[in-house]
Amino acid sequence: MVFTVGSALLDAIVLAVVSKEGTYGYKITQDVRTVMEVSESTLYPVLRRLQKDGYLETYDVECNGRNRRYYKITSNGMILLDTYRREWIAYQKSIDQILTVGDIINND
Amino acid sequence: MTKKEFLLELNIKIASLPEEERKEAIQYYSDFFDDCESDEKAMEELGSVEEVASKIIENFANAIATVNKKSSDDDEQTSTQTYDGLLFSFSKNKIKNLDFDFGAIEVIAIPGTKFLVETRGINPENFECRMNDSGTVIIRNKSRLANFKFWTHEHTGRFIPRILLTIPDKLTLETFRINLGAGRFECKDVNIITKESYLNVGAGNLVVKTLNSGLSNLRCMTGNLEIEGKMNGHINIDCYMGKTALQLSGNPDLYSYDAKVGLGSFEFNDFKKSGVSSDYANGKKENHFSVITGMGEVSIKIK
Repeated sequence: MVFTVGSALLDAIVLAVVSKEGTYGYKITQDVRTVMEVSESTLYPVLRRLQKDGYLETYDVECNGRNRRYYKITSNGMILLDTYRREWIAYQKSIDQILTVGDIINND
Repeated sequence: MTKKEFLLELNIKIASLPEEERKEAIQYYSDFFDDCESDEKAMEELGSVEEVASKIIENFANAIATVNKKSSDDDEQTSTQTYDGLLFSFSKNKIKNLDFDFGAIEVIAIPGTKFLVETRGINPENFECRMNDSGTVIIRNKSRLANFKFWTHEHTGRFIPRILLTIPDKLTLETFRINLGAGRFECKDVNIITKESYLNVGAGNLVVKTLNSGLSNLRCMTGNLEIEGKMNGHINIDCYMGKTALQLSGNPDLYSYDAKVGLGSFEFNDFKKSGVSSDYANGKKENHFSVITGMGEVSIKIK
């Protein structure tokens, strides 16, 4: 992708991925990576920060004789995600107006 | 590198962080390895340990340190003493000297691109970290007894102040000065080139690897001093009851020594003596060790 991803957008995407189901680190990485190029070393701090700020919670599930750490979204996280969604839609619209619609006007 | 080695290395690299923060990170990356098809693939996705560690440190170095203290009436009560972590950054091109002086501290130095000083559990009022006009970075505590809790018997309140130093590779200095009362100072993967070095350890453990130094003054009271690298010119070693070990690269024929040994021992490559009040010397060359040891052990290996 040629566009750089700001930290708020990365937060939003991580929240969205986790909001679908309780999920674990490696899976989150894979899911996020389907839509954007982001290094693993960047993702852990995002998860940890969202957890410390109370937007995500962790719990352990036994899996093949070890505890795997799962993440789930909290109610505060849902509220934040909702804010991000609304912001994104507004942002997307305004960008589109210039970037795509504007292009058509210039071609007239 | 295996999963175990990766996690071990990571744990060392993030040693300056609070324990909880370290545990979280290790759990996460341990899971990551277990969930990935193979260790090789995991490593490929993660990148280098340095990168992983520096991202974690960047984000969580300023976490607040908490101390659980027992109150005097023996009531199991928890109070929190919080010192924010401090972060200082210096332009590496301006640094000419490093002057480090601490009563009791644990320091780990790691290689990086910038010169950074990160603290944890250190009272800012008693901490000085600045660069003066002559390009000397001064890192010191204002009172030697400031971290007295280092030795407390109340294990619930035991809290070790720490500093993480990030040192750019091949940092070139005029003088490199470390005074360590007690605790630990480890500088293992960093290349330091200096005209003069003054390394002084009281009861602690001071390890400096890949040091390249001219005139050197080494003092070791009851502690442990380990140096690897190159040393040229005049090298003074005073070792009272501790242990001083140098592993240097160079041509042993270009070095000479004189050694006054009380009850301790002195070793220069294959020459090994321990003895009661003896003097040993083999001439005086341009590169010369002048050793005094009371009851300590001094070992110099040059290859």
